[in-house]
Amino acid sequence: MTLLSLEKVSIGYARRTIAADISLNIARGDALAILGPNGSGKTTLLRTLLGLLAPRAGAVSIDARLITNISAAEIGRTIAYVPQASAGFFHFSVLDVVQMARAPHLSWFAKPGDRDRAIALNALDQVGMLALVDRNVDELSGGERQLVMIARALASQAACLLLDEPTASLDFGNRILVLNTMRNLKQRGMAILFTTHDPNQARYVCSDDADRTLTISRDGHVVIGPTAEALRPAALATLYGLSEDVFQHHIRVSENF
Amino acid sequence: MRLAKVYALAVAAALLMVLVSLGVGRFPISAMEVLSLVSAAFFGGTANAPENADLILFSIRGPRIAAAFAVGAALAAAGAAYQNLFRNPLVSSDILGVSSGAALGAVLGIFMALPLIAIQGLAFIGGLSAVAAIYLIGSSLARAHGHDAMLTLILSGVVIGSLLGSGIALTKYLADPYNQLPAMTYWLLGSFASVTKKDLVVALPMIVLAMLPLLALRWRINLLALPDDEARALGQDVRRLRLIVIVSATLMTAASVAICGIIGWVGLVVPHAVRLLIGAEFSRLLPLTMLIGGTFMLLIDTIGRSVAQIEIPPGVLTAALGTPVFIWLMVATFRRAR
Repeated sequence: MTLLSLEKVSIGYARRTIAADISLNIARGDALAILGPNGSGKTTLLRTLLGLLAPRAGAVSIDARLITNISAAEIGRTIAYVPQASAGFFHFSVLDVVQMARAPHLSWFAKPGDRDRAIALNALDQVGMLALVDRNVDELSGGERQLVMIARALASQAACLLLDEPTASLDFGNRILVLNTMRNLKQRGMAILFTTHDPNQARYVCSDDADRTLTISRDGHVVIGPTAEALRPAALATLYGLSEDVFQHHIRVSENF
Repeated sequence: MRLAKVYALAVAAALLMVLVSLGVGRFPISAMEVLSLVSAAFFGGTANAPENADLILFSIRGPRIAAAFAVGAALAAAGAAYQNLFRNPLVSSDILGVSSGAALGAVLGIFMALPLIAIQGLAFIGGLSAVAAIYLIGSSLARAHGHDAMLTLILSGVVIGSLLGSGIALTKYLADPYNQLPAMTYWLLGSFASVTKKDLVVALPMIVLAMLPLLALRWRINLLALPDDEARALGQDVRRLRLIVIVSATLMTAASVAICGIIGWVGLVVPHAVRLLIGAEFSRLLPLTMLIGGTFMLLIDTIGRSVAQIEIPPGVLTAALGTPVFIWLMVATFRRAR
């Protein structure tokens, strides 16, 4: 069943439309990579999908209901956002951070209880971070922190994960750790949407034939199609405004990734 | 469990401090006499204490202790709330200019010879305007130019604070030099010496009323420490929560300023220290911050009224203690950020 759907959606801010006429259906177990040059509107698209930004035109719906008719808490229970992990401002423990994901399930005056704690611990276990439960988030490495952010998203028990450049600023090992985690979650039936600057990651996570890649060019041209199609050197060359043989080389190098 | 231990220690320290403070002063009352007076007051019977000791205990020191404890707890809690709200561990009511705004409102109230409740109202309006101005300037500058939000906020606080300071100076300049001016000057220094039961009746309910939403929402307030998009993606109505926290923290600050003037540093140093002790999670942080803030203020006031022939205003003591601690906190924070 369709989890998230966009129907002729235009994204953008008050005075500027960034991209128009985007139609898309995401079901459980789908993966979608979002590729595009810096400033092309990847984050704007994510914010629209999260209901943080109203579409300029068209309809975004979750479980066949218009996103504008759904409460923020309910969106939060269905779609989880994994931001680029930052050090944060305060010394929260890993468990405290992951438990924050229970907010959309709790009333304004409630605190997480034993059940919420168990869900948070289970989420940490799923990404292999259970051992760090009592550590402070600002003491973790970038990769660990990103996995904690993914655990937080899992603890909200959402069916769909939106990740904003999940591997940005991670070293090679951590990158693979995060990408493998994303792949596992997809295989377990979660819908995974992520932005990335690396076409190889689109190939890696969107590995099923049914998985698609969405590209936004700088002039707001959106193409949604099979990942293999989107990663053709010619397509990438147009997307990033470079010559084709540059991509010929890079894509071939990564074939074994 | 460590957290339970810390809380137990804090409660014990608070009770001990109340007992000590009840006994210490120009008319010393021994701990046994204090206990006997307190039990007589609660359970009846006659107390084994000197004549008039009960009067001193319940009419003079009692209200003063209650005021000092409530103000300390309120300023510390407001500081913790502002720090979460501005995602900045180095802000507090006095640094943000909220205290100056409240003080300007209160000085104007004194200038116009208004009753206490009106003075509190003006203090609240002054504090709220100050925090709104600082928040708007700070956040729009940080957003428009991508500057460090932390620095921008503190700078706007300093700037707005000095503008409010000139307003206070002008009011003092225009005030009646024989009657109002000494009252304003004395009061601006911050003191619990003139707190009466009547002041408490007005200020305490205000402080308690403002604390309730913070206590009730203390877990949810954690979400304000996240970037806006993250908190909203977790289903939180950030604007509404932020408004509740601003109004509560400002009300607490204003009520405190209205009864005892500006007392700096408590709101900055206490929550910061508590955070280092038990972590940033707000539902654990807030009650302990209140407890330790109250105890700390009581300690400061007790020292202030007992070590010298004249009373040392608590603001003077907290600033003397707070300045080196603040410098140390800045060093620690920047070192950690690097």
